[in-house]
Amino acid sequence: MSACERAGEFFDGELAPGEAAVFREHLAACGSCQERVFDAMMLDVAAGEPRPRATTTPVIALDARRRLRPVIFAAVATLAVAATLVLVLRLRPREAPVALALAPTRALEPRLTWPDADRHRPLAVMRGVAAHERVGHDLLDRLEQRGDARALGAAELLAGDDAAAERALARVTEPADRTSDLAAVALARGDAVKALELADAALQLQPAHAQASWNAALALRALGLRRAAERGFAAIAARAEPGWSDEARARADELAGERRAHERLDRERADVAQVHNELSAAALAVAQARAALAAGDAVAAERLARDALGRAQRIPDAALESQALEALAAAAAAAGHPGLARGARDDDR
Amino acid sequence: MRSAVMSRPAVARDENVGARFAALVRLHEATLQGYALKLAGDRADASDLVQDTLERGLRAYSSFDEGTNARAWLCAILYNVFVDRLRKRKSEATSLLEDDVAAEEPLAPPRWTAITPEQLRDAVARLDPEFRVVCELRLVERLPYAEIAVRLRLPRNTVATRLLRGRDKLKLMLEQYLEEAT
Repeated sequence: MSACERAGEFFDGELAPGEAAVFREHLAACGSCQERVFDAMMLDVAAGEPRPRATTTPVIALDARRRLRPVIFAAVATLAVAATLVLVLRLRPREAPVALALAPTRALEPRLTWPDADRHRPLAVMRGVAAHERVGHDLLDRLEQRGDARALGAAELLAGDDAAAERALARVTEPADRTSDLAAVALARGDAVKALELADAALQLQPAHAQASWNAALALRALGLRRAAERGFAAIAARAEPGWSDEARARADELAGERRAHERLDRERADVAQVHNELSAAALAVAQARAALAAGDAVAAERLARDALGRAQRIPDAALESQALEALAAAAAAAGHPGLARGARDDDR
Repeated sequence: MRSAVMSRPAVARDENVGARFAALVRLHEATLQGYALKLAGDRADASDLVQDTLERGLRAYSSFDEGTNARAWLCAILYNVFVDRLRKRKSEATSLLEDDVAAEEPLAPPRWTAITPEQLRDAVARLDPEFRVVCELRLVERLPYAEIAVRLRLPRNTVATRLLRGRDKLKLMLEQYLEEAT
């Protein structure tokens, strides 16, 4: 990178002390860098006070808090010993049905367009276990032979082989479904940016695409774009899709709760700033009253001191109130209002 | 006698300017300290920078338009003081006369500093996806590059480049909004 390319890094405090010193040398003589760093600073000023740091709690852990018996669910999902849900899948009308045994909870957050894998199952808590499900090799072989790219890709992804899933899903002919499923693969890999791009592309092709909407919302959440994610999940919640809408509602509520907590913090900070402003205004009024008295304008001094007193009482701030009363007593005495002066002195005791 | 009476309100006005400026400084001092440290990289230099800024600010306060963004105004002064000091140091080090280092006009806060943080977030949201996410995470969330790189699975240098370009685009966009608005 040339020196001029480091302007942003310099402003963001991303250069090592030695590099920063070298950049300062350069900055002294480079007009365009001076402007760039200045613009970065003005953008930072316009962005306002920093917001509280986003919590990086993964969604899966948030769900865990809500679930009553996570350990039992995890055991069920990982060992797949207890009750399994048998879905009967008919791949082609005249061929023998393929039975796919899926655990009652799902291991993957994203949604796939293969209808039988897309039946809603609550998300399992898989601590320290790779997020995949038990899918038999014989089933994968049979799906391979039948050449159903969508089913094979979904099964591979459920089984945890994202490369094989991607190869299979790339052959899905329906473009919106293909793109949405590839977004699911990207999510499973933790590549939220690619997932968002793919899910967005699928939604361009088919704006109400159920799985793409879900995957887009997940990607936004993973990227820390919580407002957009909340809107996405709320929209899914409104669609009344069995299971998925309830989960979307819970996720939107969770995000809304986080947002409200952040907004509360913002408001509290604004309140503090407000008090700060009021304090400055009251202090200024006291100073102005004293200055007016010194300048011989007792009438203005009295008016300013009364203004200061009102402000100090509204905050309230005892020290400023006392200063305002003192100024008022002096101003009232000079203005020929002995009653007011006496009252102010009495009040100041 | 008459002239003495005439001079009194002027004294009062000066005191008012001082008090108003002091109130302004109280509100923004922490911000100035933060930027000073960021730019100077050293505590002693940073506090000198803030002192010089306050001095220059007080002298220029009569020309400050109170309806505009005071934080941006003070920060711009701080930045100009910083650059002046850099240039002075360089000219001393290279034993050039100060005149040999071309004098630059002090930078003034751009008109778009009047936008609210909410409007800035909206503008960021309208960037192309390639720049939007990086700018959102840095300019709004203020995450370090390394964390952005991990989150987006991008090389750190790509984060840096996208941010540089994203900021340029954002500035153009804000200038354009203002042009359309007026």
